[in-house]
Amino acid sequence: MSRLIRDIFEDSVNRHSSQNAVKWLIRKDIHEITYSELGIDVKKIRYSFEDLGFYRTHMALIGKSSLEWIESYLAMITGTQVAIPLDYNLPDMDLIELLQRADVEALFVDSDRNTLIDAVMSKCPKIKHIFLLQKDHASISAKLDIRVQSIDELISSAPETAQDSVSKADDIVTIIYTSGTTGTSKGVMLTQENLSSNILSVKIEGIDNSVLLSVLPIHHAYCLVCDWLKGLSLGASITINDSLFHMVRNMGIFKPEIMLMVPLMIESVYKRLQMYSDSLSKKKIAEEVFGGKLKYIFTGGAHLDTFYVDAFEEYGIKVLEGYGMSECSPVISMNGISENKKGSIGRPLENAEIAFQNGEILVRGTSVMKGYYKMPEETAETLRDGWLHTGDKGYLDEDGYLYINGRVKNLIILSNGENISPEEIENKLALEPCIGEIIITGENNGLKAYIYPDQEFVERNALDGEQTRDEIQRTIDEYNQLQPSYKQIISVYVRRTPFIKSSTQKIRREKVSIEQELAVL
Amino acid sequence: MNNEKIFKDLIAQYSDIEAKDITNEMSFRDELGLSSLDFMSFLGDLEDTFDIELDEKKALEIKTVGDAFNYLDSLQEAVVCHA
Repeated sequence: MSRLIRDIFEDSVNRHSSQNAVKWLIRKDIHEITYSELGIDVKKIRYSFEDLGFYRTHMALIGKSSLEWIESYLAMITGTQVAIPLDYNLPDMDLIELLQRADVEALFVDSDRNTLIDAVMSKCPKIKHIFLLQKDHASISAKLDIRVQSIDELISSAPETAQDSVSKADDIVTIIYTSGTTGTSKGVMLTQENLSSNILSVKIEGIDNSVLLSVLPIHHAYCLVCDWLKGLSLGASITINDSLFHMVRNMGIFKPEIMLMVPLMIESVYKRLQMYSDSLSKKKIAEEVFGGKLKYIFTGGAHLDTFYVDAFEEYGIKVLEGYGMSECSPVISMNGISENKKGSIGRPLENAEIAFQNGEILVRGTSVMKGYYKMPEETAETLRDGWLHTGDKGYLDEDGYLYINGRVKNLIILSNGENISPEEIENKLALEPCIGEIIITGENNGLKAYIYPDQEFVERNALDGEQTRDEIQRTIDEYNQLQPSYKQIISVYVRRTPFIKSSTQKIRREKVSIEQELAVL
Repeated sequence: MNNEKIFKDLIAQYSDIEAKDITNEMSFRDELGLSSLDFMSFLGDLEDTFDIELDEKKALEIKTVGDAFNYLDSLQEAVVCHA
C-alpha cells in the first residue's frame, strides 16, 4: 500500500525532532525552527482549517520561499485540501485569471502584495478567506464578506483537538500550473500517491541530515518536491536563499552540502569561480564561493553542457543531472551519487516505466499526473492509454541511462528551467496594431521576437523603416514591463519580408532566421 | 579608482566585453550578454562593493549600463544627503 505524505512527514518529524528543519535570514540574523516545532505548527494550521470548515478546498499560495509558505503548504497536503502554488512573479491580471480558473476559495499571499489583494477582493467572488504569510498587515482591511488573517493568527487560534482528516492516496492534493503549447497554462493535478511515490523513489544515499540551500522558486515542482518534501523526509536542514542577488553570500553564511540548481545558475556560478586569481588553490576558491562544504549539485529543468560537470569536479563538487516535468511529480530519471553517467539524465526512477514512440519519451507509473484541471482535450492529448507523452525525444543506452536529443513540441526551454510557450506570447502580441506577423524563439538564453510589421498600420501612419522599428520596440517595451524577467523579450528583429509559410498558411518556424531573410532579399 | 571604473570592472567580470569598451548605452542582456542570473549576481556585487541596499523592483527595471549607473548615483546621493 502506498504511503501518505502525512506519514512520511510525521515519521521524519519524530526521527529528527530536535534537529533544525528550516533556517532563514531576516536582515542579517539567522532564524531557525526544529522539526518538532515545524510539526506542531503544521498540525495547528490543519486543525484551524477544519475549524473553519475547509474540506477539499482549493487554496492558492502566492509568495517567495518562507517558513510560513511551506508550513501552509504542508498543512494543506497532509490534510484534505488542494494546494495551488502560483508564480509570484506573474502580473496581477494573470494571477487573477489563474485564481478564477483554478476555483480558488482561500488565498495565502505575501503581505506586501496590496494591489493584488485589492484586485482579488473585487474580482474573485469565490475567495472568502485571505491569509497573509507575514504578520504585518496593517494596511490591508477586510471587506464585509472576506476574512483576512495572518498565518500567525491561524496558528494561535487553533483548537486543541480536531478530527484531523486526511485525503486518500488517489485524491488530488496539489495543482501545479505549467506552460501550455496552446498558449494557456495548464493545471497539473497530482494526487497523494503521485507526490509520495516520487519522494520515496528519488534515491539519494548518504546525505541524511545534510544542510541544503534552497535557491529555486518554491512554486516550481522541482524545488517544492526535491528541496522541500524530499529534504524534509531525510531530516535535512533546509536553508532559504532570500534573494538571487545574494546567492553567493548566502552560501557563505549557511555553508550548504547540497543544492538544487537549474543550469543557468551553474553557468553563472562558474563565471564567479573564474573571477578569482589563478594563484589561489581551487579548494580555497570553492571555500570562498560555496562556503567550503558543498559536495553535490543536483540539476534539471534544462540541458546542461557536460563542460560544467568536469569544471565543477575540479572544485570538488559533483554535478548530477536529472530529468522531470510537473506532470510526473516531477522527477522521471536522475543520476545518483554512486551510479551516474556524464551527459545522461540518469536512470529512470523505480516507479517510472519508459517507452518510446517515434523517438518521443513516454512515461507510465505512480508519479504520472491524473490530468490537467478542467482541460479534458489537453489531458487526452498528453495521457494516452496510461502513457504520458513528454514532448521530448530521447533514448536509453545499454546501461539503462536516459538521454534527450530533441523536442516534439514548440516549448522553449531556457537554461533557468522555465518552459516558455512561444504561442502564448505570439498570440498576445499579435493583437498589437503595429505587429503583422510574429515568431518568438529562444536564443542566447533569452527570448527573441522576429516581427513583420502590419503593412496597413505602416501605410496609414506613413511610417518609414526607422519609425516602424521604434513603434515596434515601444510596443515590446510596454509588454516587457508587465512580465516576469523570464518572459521578457530581450531582442527584436524587424523583418522586411513576410515569413515563409506552409501550404496551410502556418509560419515555418525553422525558417525565421535573419540569415534566411537576407538570403531572399 | 573612481566609481565608474569600479562599476565597469564589475560588469566586465560577467561579460565577454572588456571594461574599457563598455558604454552607457549598452544593454546588460542583449549587448553585454549577461543572463538574468548574472545580472542579479552583479546587482548583489554592486550592493557589497558600494555598501548600498537596492530596491529589488527598481533594480530589476534597469536595462542599460547608464540606467544602472544613474540608479547607483541616486542612491549614493541619498546616502550623502542623509549623512
